[in-house]
Formats: sequence, C-alpha cells, structure tokens
Amino acid sequence: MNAAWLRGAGNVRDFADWLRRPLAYTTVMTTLDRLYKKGLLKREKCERAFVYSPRLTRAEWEQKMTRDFVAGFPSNELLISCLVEAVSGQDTALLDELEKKIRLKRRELGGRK
Amino acid sequence: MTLPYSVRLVCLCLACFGLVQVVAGSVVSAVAGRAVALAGRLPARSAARLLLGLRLLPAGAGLFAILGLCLPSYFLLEEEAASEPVSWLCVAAALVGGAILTLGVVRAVRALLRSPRLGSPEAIRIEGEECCLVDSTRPVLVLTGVFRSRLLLSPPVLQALSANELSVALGHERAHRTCRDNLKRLLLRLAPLPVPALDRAWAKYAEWAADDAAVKGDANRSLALASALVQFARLNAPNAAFPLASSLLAEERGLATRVERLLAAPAPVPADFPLWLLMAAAAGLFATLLHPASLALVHRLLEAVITG
Repeated sequence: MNAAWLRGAGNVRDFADWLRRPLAYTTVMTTLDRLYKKGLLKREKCERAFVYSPRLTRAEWEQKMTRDFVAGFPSNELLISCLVEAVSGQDTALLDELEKKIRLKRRELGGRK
Repeated sequence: MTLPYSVRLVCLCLACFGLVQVVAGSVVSAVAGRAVALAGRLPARSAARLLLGLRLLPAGAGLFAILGLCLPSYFLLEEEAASEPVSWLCVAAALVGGAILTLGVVRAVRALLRSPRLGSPEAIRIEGEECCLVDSTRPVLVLTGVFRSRLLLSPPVLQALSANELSVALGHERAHRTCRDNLKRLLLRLAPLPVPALDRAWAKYAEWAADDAAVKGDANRSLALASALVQFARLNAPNAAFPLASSLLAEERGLATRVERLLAAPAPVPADFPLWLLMAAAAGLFATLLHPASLALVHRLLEAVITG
C-alpha cells in the first residue's frame, strides 16, 4: 500500500520496477491482486494490462483502521482506560529516564568538585 | 458615498489599518517558517524577541499607519469643510480593519475574563519574594496578572520541591515577570494573526529564556531547575489553564527538550539590547514623517485610498 500511495497508479511492471527489490513479476502481481480483492486497490484495464491505484488515501485508510479497532473493542470505557494507562505509562517512563539523566549529571558535577 | 469629516477619518484609519494588516500579515505568514528556523540558531531571549517582534509586526505597523501617518496628515492637511466621496473599496478595507480590531479586543477580553479570581489568599515570603499560598490540593506554581503580577503557590508544590528547586523555580517565574510575558500574551491576543507556529515558537523560547535567566549560567542551578521540572511534572500538574499566566511547566510536550537543554552546558545570559537605540530610531522616524514634504506625500496617498 505504501508503494501505491507513494507511486500512484501503475501496472504490475511499474510497481515491480519502482520497488527496486529483486521480486518476481508474479509475486508483485499476486500481491496487487490480493490487495484489489481486499478492496484496498482499484484496477482498470488499460490496453492489455491492469492499472492498479489506491482506493483510499493514506489518511482515509488510517481512519478506517482506527474505526475498525475501536469497533472491535468490547467496551469504550475499557478502551479509554487502556489508552490512558498506556499514555501515563509512557509519561512515567519518560520522567524516570529524565530523572536518571539528572542523577548522572549530579554525580558528574559532584565528582568535579 | 459621502461621509462627514470625523466619520471619514475613522473610515480612513480603519481602512489603512486593515490594508497594512493584510499586507504585513501576508509577509509575516510567508517568512514565519524561516524566522522560526533562524530563531533556533539564536540565544533563547533573542529568539523570543525576534519571534514576538515578527508576530506583532502587522498590528504594530497598522497602529503606526494610524497614529504616525493618517492622523497627523489628516488633521494638518485635510480641509474640514471639504466634502469628499469615499469609495466602496475604502469602506470594504475599513470593514476588514474594524473586524480585525474587534476580533483582537474580543480575544483579549475573553482571556482577561478567564484569569483566575483570587479571594484573599495567604501571603508568604520566600527568599524575599511575596507569594500567594493557594489553598488547593492541586499543584500550582503560576505567575498570574498582566500589570500587577502575583506568584501563586499551592502546598503540594512546597512539599514536592526541595529548597534549591523551589528557589530556582521562583527565579524562573520572576524572569517571566521581568520580561512582562503575561503582557506579551495579552498583546498576542489583541493582535490576531493566523500563524500559530509563531505563537508556539515564541512560547517555547520565552520559557527557555526564563530558564536561562533563572539559572544564571550556573550548572548547579541548572540541575536544580531540571529536577524541579521533573518533580513538577510528576505531580501531574495541569497544563496552563489560564491564557494570561506563566506556569513553571506550561506544556509537558517540551519537557524532555527543556530538561536536556538544562543538563547540557548552561547558556550564558546575553547582554541587554540597548533600548535607547530603538527609541532614538523611532523618534527619528517620527521626526521624518512630520516633515511637511512627508506629510504632503502621505496625504496624497490617503486621498488615493479614500477615492479607491
């Protein structure tokens, strides 16, 4: 999907060239076909090849992912409390890290005296 | 549209204010990104001054257009009896100017109304500094008030900070008072400009400048302030709820950067910019503008604005 968002529309050969990785033509074709079947890409026949392009922008896709994640959670209250816990856990870790740096600096300054 | 002498003056002043605001505001919006980048290479206090100056430039230029250009040339060169039509373009510019002024005043009044109402808090002296002890279980260490600022403290802060930490934290708030940062916040509200990046950058450098002033280039004070910031953050101090107040930790987003900056070599406090130089430049500019030839030129320009 990253390739589709960054490169834009293209056929299998375009994507295979753009990726600059030693991937077989058929591997890229299968991946694009699966993304199409999942509804993430749309395709149009152009001459003899399919041209694939993203059905959603990155922002729309992220919104959809978030909506699906929230909808899949058993209760909203539980989700919010989990998020708050995760954020405050991060804050505490950051404060601990800063305090450690302060202690080190204090020791360093004390050693210089 | 024909307007009486005094109404025409008001219309002209507002139109000039509006035009100058739009032009200067567009220029400031265009250079804001570069100014923020340049500020990153300057000492914190100079960076804060540069950003504030740029941020207030459109409003300052608009006021200067009214006080330095419109009023003198209008009163000295416009004949009171002369009836003169005012173009719709001038009226539209005046409406824009009026709208900007009104928006600024509304924002400033709303901010003033949201300032904390203090009853009669207990006054305590810490290091010769008079502080108001607020009876609250929430952590409060805030400088409030625009013209007569007061330092508010609550018991949880007194308990959490050591004597050294408290001393340097109060020094930080004193630096905000010396720099009149709350007044600057009010001016920012009075002068609306849709460039939030400038406001955010100014707030960051104002905090850093207050840190530098409190630390005074001393590594131990620097360490004490870093520690005070972390202790204060541990109290889950609420973010600055009052728009015209300076808190020790206004937003936790910049905490890590501030602490790491304090732990690096403490920044020396730069020398004060000679204010007399600015005053002399302003006086020189006014003297030039009040010269009859300048007034005549300004008057011709204003006639062009009025007639569209």
